[in-house]
Amino acid sequence: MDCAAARHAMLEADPADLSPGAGSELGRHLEGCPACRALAAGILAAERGLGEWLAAQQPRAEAAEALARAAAAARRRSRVRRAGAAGSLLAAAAAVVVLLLPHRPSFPPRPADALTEAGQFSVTAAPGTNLVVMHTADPKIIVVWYLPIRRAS
Amino acid sequence: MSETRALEEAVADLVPRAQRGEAGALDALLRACRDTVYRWALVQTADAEDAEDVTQEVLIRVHGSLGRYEGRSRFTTWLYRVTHNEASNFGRGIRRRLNLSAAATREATVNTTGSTDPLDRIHASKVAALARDLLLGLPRRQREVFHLADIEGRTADEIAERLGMSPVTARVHLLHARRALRSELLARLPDLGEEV
Repeated sequence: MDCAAARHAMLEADPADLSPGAGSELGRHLEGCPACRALAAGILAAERGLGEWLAAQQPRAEAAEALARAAAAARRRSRVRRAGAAGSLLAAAAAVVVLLLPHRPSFPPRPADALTEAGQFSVTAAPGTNLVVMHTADPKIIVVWYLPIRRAS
Repeated sequence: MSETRALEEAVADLVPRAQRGEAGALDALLRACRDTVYRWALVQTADAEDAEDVTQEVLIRVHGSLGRYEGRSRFTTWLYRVTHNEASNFGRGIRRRLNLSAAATREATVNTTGSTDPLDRIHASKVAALARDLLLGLPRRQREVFHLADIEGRTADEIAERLGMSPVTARVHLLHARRALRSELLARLPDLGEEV
């Protein structure tokens, strides 16, 4: 292998092959060629420097702040999911109650300001509508329950 | 030992404890993962600010999804995939900023020669800075593969598993990355071999 071929091979060689003494043809050339050996050492040093630069990189935000934000966001998402699940349960329970009533209401439903209340949820429906808005203890979380009404044709 | 392997060992006992809901284990796990996730995200996004945002999203995802991690792959493999997916989603629709902003760039003074000579150190820092800019200017796949192979020391099979590609494709990306990075390095620093 001459120097031109060695320098061509260096561009794609594994780092292990850029050291003299590696069993490859390139490694054998580097053993006997100081100029190519220096060039290979330069490439290795640059890539080692790249690894050291990367290892020194850290996010700017303080760890506690970043983790607190992550945890708070996750907790908010969990609360929304829990509220959604609770809303679904409540909706199912309300549907069961309606089905079990001895005198089922006729549609359009009679005016009703308060349908039910359970736990921390208060449920209201505007008279004659099929839309229920459930307010939770957290003012930021509102569950909207929409009841499709099948109308007789 | 590569950073990923060190992280794997560091979190080996934290993962099951966090999954059981043990107090403090999840925070400790997130804390242990944060910097590694950031560096992965930095390679994937090529932008320090984007990498911070991706890191944040990954921590939130880990917080919410840890219960679904079943241990079929290494935790770091799973974590890398989460980071990769978040970086991919983050990148969609956003104009890529390939150059690190001045505020976000934290120059690391690296001494790749081990020399105490200030001129040698300045030269080493200059070489490392150029190598960094060249790496961040590569296409994303090439950046990822180069990082995993030549910085993390991962095999083509391991890279293929992480990135969802064949080992042959991973090898092709690696060769392209090396060629692009090294040829540009030698073109811009023709005296590279003389001062090391």
